[in-house]
Amino acid sequence: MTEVLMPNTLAEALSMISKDGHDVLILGSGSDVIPRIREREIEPKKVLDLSGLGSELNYIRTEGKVIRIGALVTVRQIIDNELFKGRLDAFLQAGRMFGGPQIRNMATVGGNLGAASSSEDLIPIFIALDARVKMASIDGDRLVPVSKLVVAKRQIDRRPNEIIREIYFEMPDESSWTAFFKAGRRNSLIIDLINMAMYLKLNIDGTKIEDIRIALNRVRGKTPERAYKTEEYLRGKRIENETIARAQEVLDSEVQLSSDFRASAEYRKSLDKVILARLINNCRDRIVEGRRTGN
Amino acid sequence: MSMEVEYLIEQLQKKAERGELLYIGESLNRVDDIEKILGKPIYTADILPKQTLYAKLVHSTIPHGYIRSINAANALNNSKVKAVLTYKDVPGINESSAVIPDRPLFADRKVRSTGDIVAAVLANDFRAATEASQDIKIEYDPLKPIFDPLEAMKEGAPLIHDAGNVAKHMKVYKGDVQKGFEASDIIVEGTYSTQFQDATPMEPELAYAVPKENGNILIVGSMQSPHITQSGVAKALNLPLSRVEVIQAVTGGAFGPKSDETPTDLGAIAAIGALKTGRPVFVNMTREDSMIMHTKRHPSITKLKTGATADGKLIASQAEMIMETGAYASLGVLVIVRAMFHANGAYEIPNVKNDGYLVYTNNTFAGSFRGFGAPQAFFASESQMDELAKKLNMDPLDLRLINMLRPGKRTSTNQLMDAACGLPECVEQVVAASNYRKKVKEYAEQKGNTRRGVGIAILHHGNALGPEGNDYVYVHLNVDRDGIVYLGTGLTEYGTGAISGLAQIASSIMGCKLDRFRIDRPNSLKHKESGPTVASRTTAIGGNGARDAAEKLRDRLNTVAAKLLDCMTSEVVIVDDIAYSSSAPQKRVGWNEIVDEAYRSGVSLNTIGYYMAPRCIWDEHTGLGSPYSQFTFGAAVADVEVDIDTGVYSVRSYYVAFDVGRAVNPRNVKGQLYGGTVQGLGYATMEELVHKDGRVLNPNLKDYYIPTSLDIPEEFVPIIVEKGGAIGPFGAKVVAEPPIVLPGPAVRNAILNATGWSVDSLPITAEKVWREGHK
Ligand SMILES: Cc1cc2nc3c(=O)[nH]c(=O)nc-3n(C[C@H](O)[C@H](O)[C@H](O)COP(=O)(O)OP(=O)(O)OC[C@H]3O[C@@H](n4cnc5c(N)ncnc54)[C@H](O)[C@@H]3O)c2cc1C
Repeated sequence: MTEVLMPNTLAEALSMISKDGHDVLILGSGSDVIPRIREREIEPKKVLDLSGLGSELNYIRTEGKVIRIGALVTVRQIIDNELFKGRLDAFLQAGRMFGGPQIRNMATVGGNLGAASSSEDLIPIFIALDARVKMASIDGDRLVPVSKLVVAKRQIDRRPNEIIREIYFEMPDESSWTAFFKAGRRNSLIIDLINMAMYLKLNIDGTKIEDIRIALNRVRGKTPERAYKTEEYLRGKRIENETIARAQEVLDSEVQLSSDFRASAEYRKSLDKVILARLINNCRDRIVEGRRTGN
Repeated sequence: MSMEVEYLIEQLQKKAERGELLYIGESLNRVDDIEKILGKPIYTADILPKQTLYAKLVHSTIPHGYIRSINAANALNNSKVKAVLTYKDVPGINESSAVIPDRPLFADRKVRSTGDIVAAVLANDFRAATEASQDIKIEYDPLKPIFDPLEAMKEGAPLIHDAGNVAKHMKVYKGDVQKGFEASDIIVEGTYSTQFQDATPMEPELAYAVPKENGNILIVGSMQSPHITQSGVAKALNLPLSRVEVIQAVTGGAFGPKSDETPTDLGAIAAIGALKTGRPVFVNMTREDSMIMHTKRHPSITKLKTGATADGKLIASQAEMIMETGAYASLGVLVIVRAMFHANGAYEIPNVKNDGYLVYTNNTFAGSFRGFGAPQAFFASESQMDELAKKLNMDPLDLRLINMLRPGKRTSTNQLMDAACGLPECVEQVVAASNYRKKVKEYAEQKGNTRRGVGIAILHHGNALGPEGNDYVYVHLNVDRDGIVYLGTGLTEYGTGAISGLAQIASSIMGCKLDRFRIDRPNSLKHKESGPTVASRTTAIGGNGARDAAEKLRDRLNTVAAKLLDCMTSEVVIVDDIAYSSSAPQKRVGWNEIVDEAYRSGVSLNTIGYYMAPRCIWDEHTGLGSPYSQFTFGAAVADVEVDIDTGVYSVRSYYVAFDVGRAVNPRNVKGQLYGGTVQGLGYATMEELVHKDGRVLNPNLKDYYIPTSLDIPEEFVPIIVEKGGAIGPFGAKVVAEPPIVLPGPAVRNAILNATGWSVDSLPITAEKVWREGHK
């Protein structure tokens, strides 16, 4: 029998896992975990249900430039929030193809970070935004850069007595944009063949890439990572066909993908390259357009 | 007379002038739709008898080998486990196969696929049964497996069955194909391949058995053909048919596999378990179990060669199709027959040579699935037509217009097309609706990364069983004293509304309202065996049985009404629950009065209708003759948009016209056009059950993709053409299967039109499109 713990406050929740945290499975909305329990992939002794912590963990807040998202915020809430319409476009693009309507209504940000299988869509976006994860425990809060969060497939840098409290990042300025793309074998409810998130910032006169962060669900291993070499190549460059073609070559040598019955490594790579070009152009166009219209 | 009755009479007269009846051709609601909407039907797993044991099937873990030992001791140690069944527990004949007796119910000596059933664990609950199933220790002596049908056909290949790895060779030979090619100006050749497709009915196969008095057995399950299950179970139990009662529960989709071995397997295993333990036994199947175990659509490799004159006249066609049936033949021996009869497309071609081989491998087995060999055949032939058109520098539509079947033309088997050949009308209408000609012109000008393209595909589809079996049916009609009409038949409803169509036909003839009808649960002891509910035959064949029964009752009703109306029987009109005399229409009697009078005067309102389709005559050796009594025709145009850089494409619009002879219920016909197209688009674009080393890699709906609502075309235009056929009631032809056939070639040809790239294997994934373009 599985014991279900239902705390009403974060403090209560943290004390419940302060000792035997190893035996406890944290439950966001369960969209990732419940099917796995049903399939007997995991058989938790105890389940800590966070649904009672809405008043503490469900918020989207701005403090100056910083945007804070509580762990219980759902994908639906993100899509519906005005804050994400514009430079945080990556979230909308991911949100549109995130599961189906029911999954969007349920799936939480904390759960997405916690699931960390290679087809989680929000993690690459957070990586591209250089976000920080705030872990809470009875010992206090601990910060983990999201790029270091996933240590292996389905394994994150979380101690047994910790709960993901929030994730935060800086709002990109008006010279920047974010974009996201994922490819699968149909239009919804897919396991990603590839996904890619990008943050791109142009210089003052809009001619060159001042900064860029590119995150993919797979680069070398089965965890989301940044394509550092490609970023490095692109930084400071003008966005021209030649540059992009060269960047595609760098990306080609940087990613190592494997084949499975869904797609070959070769095709995945070709998608990565096409998407790289499209996201760069898309970000550039939107920044330029924003400048023209004063947004 | 009330306005309503006046109106009805007017309608009736209009229809009578066309030789038809009031409700024929009307989109009436199904008799069971409100119940279904309200969630009332009871499916197999909804209510189980008290004390039911749950069975979990144990499959072979290796694809090919001998069973050395089966040890169930550990499983039986579990107090919740009540029994473990193996081949040793089969009281009768340990066999469950459709046509060729090549498949044991429980694997005994040998296993030939990972879908083979080695044991069944019976426990108090499903969880315990599932857990205990891991504790059954089976030792094997593995044999070399074969997963490639081409390998299996080679001399010296390991034998999967003693009789050889080719289960059937089917031929259609007409004229002299060699001379035909010599006389051709242009020859095209190609190889076309297709994949395993799973039918994914909403509800998996399920059955439970209940032990009855005197060792009789009751089986309730999700199935297409209760009498097939009855005879299979009787054989396994060594019981006479009369002691095996099989009831088809409300069934959540089927598409073919629920008429093959699986429902019989489940029924027989449940029954053996029930007789052994004295308790009801429920064989529960998860989606995964179902996808591993039940029959799928055969993968195929077709080599096709076509010769034509420089002006596009077809002279010769040669097809060699290798159809992989997996470990057992199932219905494949008939699937290959249909495939060969249709392998050259809906064209008149004087010289034909078709060889079809049904080949065993150690993959899980294939069998019946909507389309029954036609999807594979037309993917090859319709793809090749577009290659030929390209070589001839001719529009694919024009090439089809020159060669396609029309009244007076002959099929590959030399069957003459009569006036009921509505293919030209289908093509004409689908071309007009899709703006095909205009689009071809427009799309030829395109540049850039996003390209649109249109593709056309056409078909003929031999109706009902034809060469696949005796096409007969019984329909029971029984009017009770309240005026309710009970319709019973061995044919089953599993979601199409076809049985409701039988009621619609009967009510039209009898003159009562459709909502008086109740459909009996099909029961192998109460209803006469009527052949399987397959081959889209319910309306075209079953409708004639309903018609026969209804006409018998109508004669009796006329006699009774004549007495009440004081007129001659020939003057009696009964329509929409009201009877009057044509010579004195003022006086009327209602349905219940007639029924009441019939009961009072001892006139039986209980009868059985019967129909048997004419025998189809064709030569076993050459395949020539008339294997079908009538044909359905269809044409489709797909309009696609392709992303050149990634190969990602979408089907933007889809137009389809079908000659269904007579649409008894047009809305139901359109339902089949929609449903068949969507399932066909799944087959064309994404569905693929993948085996690796004999194991199914994706037996679940997470990894096996079927279309979602976001994958279907924004625009879908279904068109009904009606060229009454020879045998169906009121000219009705079959419609349920053929729409699944056209999306494959139509989409493939549209991509060719958009990009110049030929993708000759299904499913057409973005990766395959991309590969063609980046060779
Ligand atoms: C049909 C379907 C479609 C899907 N489509 C997508 C998709 O398109 N894109 C995508 O990215 N994902 C998809 N998913 C996966 C899943 O929905 C997401 O990962 C979702 O964000 C998980 O959130 P949840 O709240 O349901 O997590 P849960 O299932 O509750 O938990 C997931 C993991 O995170 C841990 N966890 C949850 N909350 C916390 C917390 N606050 N602190 C610490 N650990 C925590 C849990 O212990 C568990 O290990 C899909 C799932 C399904 C079933």
